[in-house]
Amino acid sequence: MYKNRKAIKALLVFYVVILGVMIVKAPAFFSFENAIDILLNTSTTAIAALGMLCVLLVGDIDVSVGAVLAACCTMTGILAKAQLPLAAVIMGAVAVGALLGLINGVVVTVLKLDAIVATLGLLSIYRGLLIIITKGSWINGLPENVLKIGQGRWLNIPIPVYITVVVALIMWFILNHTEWGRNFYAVGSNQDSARLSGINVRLTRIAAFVVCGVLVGAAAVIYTTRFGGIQSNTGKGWEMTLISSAVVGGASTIGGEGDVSGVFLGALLVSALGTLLVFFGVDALWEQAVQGLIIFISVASYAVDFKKLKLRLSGGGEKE
Amino acid sequence: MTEQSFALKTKDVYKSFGGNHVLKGIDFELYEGEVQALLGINGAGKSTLIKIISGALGQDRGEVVIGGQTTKNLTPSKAQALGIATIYQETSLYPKLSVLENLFVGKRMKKRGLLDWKGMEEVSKEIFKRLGVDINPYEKMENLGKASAQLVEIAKALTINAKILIMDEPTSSLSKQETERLFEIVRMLKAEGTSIIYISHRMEEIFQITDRVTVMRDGKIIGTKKTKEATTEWITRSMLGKEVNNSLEKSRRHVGEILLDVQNLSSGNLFRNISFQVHRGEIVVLSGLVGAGRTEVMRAVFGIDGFDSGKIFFKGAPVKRHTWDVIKQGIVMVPEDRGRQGLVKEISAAENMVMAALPEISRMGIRNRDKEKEYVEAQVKGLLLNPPAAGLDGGAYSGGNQQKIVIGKWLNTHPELLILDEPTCGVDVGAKMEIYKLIVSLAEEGKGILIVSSDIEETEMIADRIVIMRQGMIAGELSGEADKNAILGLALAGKEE
Repeated sequence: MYKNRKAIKALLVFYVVILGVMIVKAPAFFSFENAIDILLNTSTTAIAALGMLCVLLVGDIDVSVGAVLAACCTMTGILAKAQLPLAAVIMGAVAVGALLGLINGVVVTVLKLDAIVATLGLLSIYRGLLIIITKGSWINGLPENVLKIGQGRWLNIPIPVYITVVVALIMWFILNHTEWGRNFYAVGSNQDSARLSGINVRLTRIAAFVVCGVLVGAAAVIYTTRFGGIQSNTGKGWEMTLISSAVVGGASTIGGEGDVSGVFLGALLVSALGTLLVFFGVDALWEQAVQGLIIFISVASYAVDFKKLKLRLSGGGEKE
Repeated sequence: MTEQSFALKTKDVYKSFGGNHVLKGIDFELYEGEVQALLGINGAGKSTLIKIISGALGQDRGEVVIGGQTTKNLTPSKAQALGIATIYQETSLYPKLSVLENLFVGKRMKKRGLLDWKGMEEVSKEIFKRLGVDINPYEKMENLGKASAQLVEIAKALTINAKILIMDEPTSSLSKQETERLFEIVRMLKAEGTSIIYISHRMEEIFQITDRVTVMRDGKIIGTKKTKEATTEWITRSMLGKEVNNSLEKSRRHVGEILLDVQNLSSGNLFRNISFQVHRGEIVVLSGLVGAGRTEVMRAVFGIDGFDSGKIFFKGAPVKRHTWDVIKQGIVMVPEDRGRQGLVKEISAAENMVMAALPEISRMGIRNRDKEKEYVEAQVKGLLLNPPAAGLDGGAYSGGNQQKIVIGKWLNTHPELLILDEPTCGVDVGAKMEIYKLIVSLAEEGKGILIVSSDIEETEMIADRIVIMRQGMIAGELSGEADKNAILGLALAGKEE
């Protein structure tokens, strides 16, 4: 059970620095409502980023998540407007996610396409079909019973926060204490030898895509009910958010590395970025650039071997 | 011998890939509790046979009988369940996972349906104790050295209580002491009744550790003998199908002026006070154990790593600091790790061979195909590349020929000094001689040759002068006529015996 402690440590240090700066510069940041707001913003990202983590662990990548989110949101909207019970709405959304995840996984593993190319193509296909189905119109006016999920509170804490915690615990358990969770790591770390160890590599990779789809579906239910409506371009660019959350949290894009706590912290940072910038007094237009910069810095800092760097800078080379 | 029972038997096993017949009726027998060497040049069919036995490949025809039980549709997991563990040459470990996890992938222990990490930790500790090694089960695999990784592979085999252990070139990256330790473990396992198939290109190891020797050639078994009754001549003859002249003529070469002059080179705790010279037309072997700092010295000379103090001169002028400048000065290096640092397997041999010379061949950045062809053809002929065509992908050639392609790539830049790091690592006996001849002929042309080699026989055969390193320092210098014991003595203890 090796953990990328370097990433988690670095993130925690980063958090302490940010919070320290905030105490001095913007004490208003530390209000209960603001904390709740940030956690609420994190919920959809964190849940889906854990799905992305699974795909990254097996050494693949899924860039179609934005379109999958839109599809699941649409399903949620359609079922909710049909006055179906809450459970059926949730099941419907998750089922769409699972189905699209399955398609992704099968296309990548059976047709042996490169994951990034295949899911990029599927992204367009899903979006195209979705526009045909919804005719590009928005879905609005969802019934009260489903809005409770996204907007309701229990003990003054929003329901999505509870859902996020439960999902994170389940994923932690699966990834650390079940056979197929560990198989994700094995397949991503050395696919050939996983095959020789008797692991069904193809099935494991497909499973990772399906888990990703399911979690995107769960995130979609929160997303839809929180905002009470869906636009046809929902989730555009979302793959960037999820991949950066996972990567900032220490997941490796070549597989085998990453864990739930890291990805959760990563998602928190990426989602809180907008709020942080506002409190810093930075124009919100900077958000995307800063997000990119943080990914760059974090990935670089985990990749660099500081001991070697120090050795290289301090000595070496010809000295006349 | 008749009362001995078989741990493993294959009956008339055939296998072909496309139209290529790789195994043609293999009857292989492994007794219980024996160490049997499986020999053959690259392409003889060893790997295919091993893969069939361990379930990674299915045979076209024939039977595999394990422990008296005829197997059907063997898969890796079924083979494991029958007690077969394979340690592949290309390590089959998971670099990003913990040692513990590596030991148990595919056969994790469970308690009430959940993974039993505690139980696995206990078992792993027990196994490491049995092996007499101290490895932290929670260390990340990629942080371990090659020797420890090899031990983890063996421990992995012990977790399934392997009755048959297949070791493919287990010592290729181990030092002398590590090899000895490995042999102790092999003997221990043998005493416990484990049967071992041992694949190696190192003849001395075969005689040291195995009970019987089986030689394969062209997909057939040529013969099996008790190791005590086998001779090196018989083995090489069976492997190659012809007599080989194993001695190399050290023709009198004209040794010219000093090409490379290394003076008091030191770098941190990697090496200290290294001084030696390479003349024109001379073959100098830098000998010593793995970890003695030889590769590090080479890297410093070649401008890959820096150094703290000392001087390096090439033809009287200081060697530049950056590798690309060093190459321009006329020094090239053929790295040890052919697969990762030397050859690009996905492109043709021809492309590989012109890669380093492109600046010279091209005109104003535009490639000159005619001239490239000329260069490539000259190398194909000069290197005796087999097959004698450069159109195939680099990865399609055998180990020895891959090495020739890498050498050819550097020869195209017209170097004056060639540095070769373990030039025959993973190369079979037949191809080894061809590479030696190639090296000698390069020296005859007046090039300086500097070789890092851990292979004592190789060192004895080709060196004009031997510089021995030990623990980061020069332990001594011997002439090419020095014998094995003298070299080993210096490498091990720093004194001549």
